[in-house]
Amino acid sequence: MRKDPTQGVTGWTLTLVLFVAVIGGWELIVRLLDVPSFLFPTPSAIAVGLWRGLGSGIYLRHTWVTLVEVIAGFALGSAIGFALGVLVALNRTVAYFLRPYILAFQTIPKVALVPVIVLWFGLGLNSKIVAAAIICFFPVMINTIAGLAAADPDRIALLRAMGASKMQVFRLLRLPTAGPYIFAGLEIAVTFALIGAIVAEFLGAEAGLGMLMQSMNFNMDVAGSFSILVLLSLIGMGLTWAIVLIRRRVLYWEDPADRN
Amino acid sequence: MNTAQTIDTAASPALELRGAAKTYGTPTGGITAFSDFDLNVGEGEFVALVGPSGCGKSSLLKVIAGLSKLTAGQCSVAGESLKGPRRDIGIVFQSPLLFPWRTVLENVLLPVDVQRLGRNSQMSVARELLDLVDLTEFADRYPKELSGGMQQRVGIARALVNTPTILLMDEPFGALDAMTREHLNLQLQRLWMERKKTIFFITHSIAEAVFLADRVVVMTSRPGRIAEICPIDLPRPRDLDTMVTPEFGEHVRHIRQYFGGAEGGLD
Repeated sequence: MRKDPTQGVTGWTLTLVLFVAVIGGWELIVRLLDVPSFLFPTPSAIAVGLWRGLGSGIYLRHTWVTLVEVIAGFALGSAIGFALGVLVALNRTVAYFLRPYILAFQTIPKVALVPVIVLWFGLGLNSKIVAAAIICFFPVMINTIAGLAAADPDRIALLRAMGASKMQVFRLLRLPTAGPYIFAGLEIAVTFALIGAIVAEFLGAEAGLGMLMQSMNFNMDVAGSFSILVLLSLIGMGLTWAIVLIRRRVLYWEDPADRN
Repeated sequence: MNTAQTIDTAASPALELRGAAKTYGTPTGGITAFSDFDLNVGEGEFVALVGPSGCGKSSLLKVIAGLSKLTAGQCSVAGESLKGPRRDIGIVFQSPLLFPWRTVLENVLLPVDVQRLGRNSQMSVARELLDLVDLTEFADRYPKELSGGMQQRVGIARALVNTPTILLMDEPFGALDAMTREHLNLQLQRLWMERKKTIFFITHSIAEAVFLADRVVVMTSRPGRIAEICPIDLPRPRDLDTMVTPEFGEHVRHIRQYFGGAEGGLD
């Protein structure tokens, strides 16, 4: 069997070497070409910005605000997406009447709705939560519909022959079959929720990492802006990782090799 | 045992089909899956049905399972006209159709959950059935850890857990290798002799039908009709040596003549 190059000690070493090379090359090029720091900062300046921001407690306070918005928006959007997905998948009439609206909504760039949402819901937490929810509910809904439709017809026949009701087929077969689809949707949705919250903060907020980044941009503190990007990326990875952990718990029967 | 005498003339048969026919409507006319199907299956009888692909075997099974309706004729179970799925019928399909998120024991308990019989009261039955199909030590494993033959045995235990009186089997061993198949045929015979179920067994292996059944219903295709119903009077319990007796060979030869003989299989 061929050895997987991404596994084991050599894998880790290579990852580390590559990271150092990229960061070192970046630092070197910016310094050699003498790029002004308000256009493109060096990694070391970004690191200093991150250190200062975290040390003073400012970043933590704003991270907390953004995190609350993202998680609340994600929870709300996922719940709505799941509920609508179930309705569409189970009820032909609902599916028939809802489909054109779903298609219409699918083509709208959801980010374009955020200015209106801020107008409606104000500068506080609410507009961020709604923006996150609106952007993230869609992948959950689509994947729920697809997953609930994916149940094997032979297993449905088996359950029906046992005398199972439509509700029992849903609970005993359709829902567990949809599990992997729904979680794939949730993994996408959680990063979408982060986008929604940040964009809403850009457009008008009292607190949060997006607002902080915006004010740094106005002050030409590009290194500071980049340090917040690093933080946002860490938050995104952390949230995705949390979903993956929950997935392993909930979909305990899944073969790790089948996941992607 | 001579089953012809054990069929009680007074009681209604476990399964009765009278002039049964199934036609699927298409825009250009109808396609007849089977027609003029007359059959009585007595209580405790093992009846096998052989026929080539496309003779309407699976359509017939769906009707008896209550999943589709006849277009003509009658089907009744235990004297009652069939209206839909019945709880006294257990079904085993060609593929095991286990649920991957349920353990082996939970898979066996599936009909108990569907019919709300209460897991606690049925637990001993489920464990006893796992014992019967030699899977006791696999009770808490998941289906993906089992071989194909083991999975099919779980399917059989599942079909029996709510103690149905009739067992429908649709080519249950068709996807398995010859060795496993022989082994499961022996186990099924033992199970049938111990539990006294009525079994309606669909297969396209003539040898399997002759080995297992009290009577073999021979069907020809397009549209599916009964060509002959052959009583198999070989003594029970039958074992692998039965299959090399001249009587066994004679039954197989006799049935094979309906399918143009020489090639051995039906398809």
